Amino acid sequence: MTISSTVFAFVSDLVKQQAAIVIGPGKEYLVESRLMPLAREAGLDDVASLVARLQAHPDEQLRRKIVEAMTTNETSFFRDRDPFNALAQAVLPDLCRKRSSTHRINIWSAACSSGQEPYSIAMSVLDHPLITSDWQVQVLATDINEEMLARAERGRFSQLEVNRGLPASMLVRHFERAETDWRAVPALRAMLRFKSLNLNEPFDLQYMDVVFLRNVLIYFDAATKADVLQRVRRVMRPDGFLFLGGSETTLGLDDGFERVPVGSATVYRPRGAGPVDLPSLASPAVAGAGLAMGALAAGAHVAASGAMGPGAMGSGAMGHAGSPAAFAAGRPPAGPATNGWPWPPGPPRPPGPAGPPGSASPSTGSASPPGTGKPPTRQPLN
Amino acid sequence: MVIDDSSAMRLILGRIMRGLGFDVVEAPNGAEAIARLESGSMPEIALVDWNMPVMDGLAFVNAVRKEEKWRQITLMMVTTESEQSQIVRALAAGAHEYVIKPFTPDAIADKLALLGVLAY
Amino acid sequence: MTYIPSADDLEVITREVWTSFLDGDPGGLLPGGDGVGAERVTGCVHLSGAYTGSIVLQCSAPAARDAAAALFSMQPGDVTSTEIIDAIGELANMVGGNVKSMLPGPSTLSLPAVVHGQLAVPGAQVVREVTLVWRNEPLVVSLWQQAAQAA
Repeated sequence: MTISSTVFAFVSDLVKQQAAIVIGPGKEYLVESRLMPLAREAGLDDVASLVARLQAHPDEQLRRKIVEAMTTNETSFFRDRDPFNALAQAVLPDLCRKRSSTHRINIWSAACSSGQEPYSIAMSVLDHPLITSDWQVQVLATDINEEMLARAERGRFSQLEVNRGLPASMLVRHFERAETDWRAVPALRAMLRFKSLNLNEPFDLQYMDVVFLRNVLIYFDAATKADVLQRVRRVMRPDGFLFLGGSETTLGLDDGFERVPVGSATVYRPRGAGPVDLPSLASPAVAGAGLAMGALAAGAHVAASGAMGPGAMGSGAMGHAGSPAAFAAGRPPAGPATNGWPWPPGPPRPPGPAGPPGSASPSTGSASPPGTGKPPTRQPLN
Repeated sequence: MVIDDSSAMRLILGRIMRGLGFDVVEAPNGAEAIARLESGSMPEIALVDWNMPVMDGLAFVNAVRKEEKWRQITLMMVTTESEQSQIVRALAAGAHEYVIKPFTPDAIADKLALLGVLAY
Repeated sequence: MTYIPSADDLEVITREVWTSFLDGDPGGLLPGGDGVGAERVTGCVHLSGAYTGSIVLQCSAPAARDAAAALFSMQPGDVTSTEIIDAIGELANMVGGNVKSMLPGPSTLSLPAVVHGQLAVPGAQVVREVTLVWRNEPLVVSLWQQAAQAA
């Protein structure tokens, strides 16, 4: 029996509101198959009755169960993209300056689930031109669900999972085939530590420079949210960075954080953290970091060549990158010229009237100053 | 542009891309796709199968990346070829992204967002 | 010894294809069942090169019709043999392509062929097989190898 459009609308609104996930039209069968077991569990005949019950008696637990049932398997690498670009383009460069004496950065993925988030963070770090081998960066991944944690620790993802949100170039660099799956290579795996942790209970961790606490607070009531945020803040460095989920905010929950827009992302910092040390827009190595160029090998020759566009290849803007060896060596394939700051890079731009495309360094003049919100997109190269 | 020798796959990908707001033109192999481009078709993005008769996907990518006039076309391979070495070959030849079959509509949308082709 | 995909691998691959294009959820395809009866639709792709053999997909006629309907978003009643051929061919192609990536390479994958009835490949034997059930209908996926190569 297919569910009615009203029932479908209710469920998709709920999921969008609670988890910032959109269940597109045509997915009625998915709602039916995922929620029918919950309906039966509640002693009801069908999904419509389940929804009716929730509407009649608002029940936090039931709501959470419905959202969870609809959002499993919805996770992807680099989910929402903007936070990871902010990480690469602003947060890591800032920390590279601020932690220059210790050369240590601690990052915490606080509800790591099946692992896409911590592995995405680790890949961003490994690919970052400023994080050279003398830096010690650790990514701690925690979750309350031990089964999920074990899965994340194995570092194996199915073909369907790696198809979601993971740039192909990062896939081939950081993963290797293992039967039907893709498995994190040792260098990637080595960046991560996994630990069971219940956010609702006291936790004792070393000081964190960056915390990812995304789409987990939605499952708590307001008082618990506030409590968790406060305790998270206590394990953060005073100049640290907190990332929440797309529809989440600390507003009204914890006054100890302030909201800082970074490119298209929103970052929360302990109040009084001071300004973010944003890299100058003329620094192409960093401006091109993040998902735009995360695919490429880290920076030495990139920084040296001075420009990120295909023109930097020297072999001319035309022609392809050539051999797989060249690719593996980390030179970017001749491709659409990317923006500088900030993300997204926009589609490939048509060649400008003067000179070969990509020979200009990433747009500086046309970029809006950081923190003013909307990134420039689809701007002419010249 | 959807380039695949399987009419089933052209149908499926066409449906997904139209659902995402694109107009879609189809070609059953690389050679016909090139012919389309030569006659003035200028897609924002081409979804390219690998194994096709006459001209396969890799040859198509190579051919497109050679031409200045086609620089702005984003090339995304959509194929069952899922060996690491094959993916590297495709990216080295100039493909911008790579989707392994089987895929879900969400996977395609994710990749398009990564490429900046889709404003998410 | 080179790795040949196991029956489990065949199942995982088939489930990924079914989830992506037919079911939307991994729960639709189940292990077990009695295998296909006399009336069946068979799709296959052939490999030649480092591995020479075939990947064969067999299902009942109702399953083939339902698969085509799901793949092309049609009503089962509107499905004709054209759609069935296209659908089973594409499904065999996708399963086969993924199996190929796990076999010793390089090998080339042929275009798919679809037949109503049972397929025989002279000189080949089944090296892996998995029996599945989809919407109460049987589905069998098998990997064949040319005897000459297997020696």
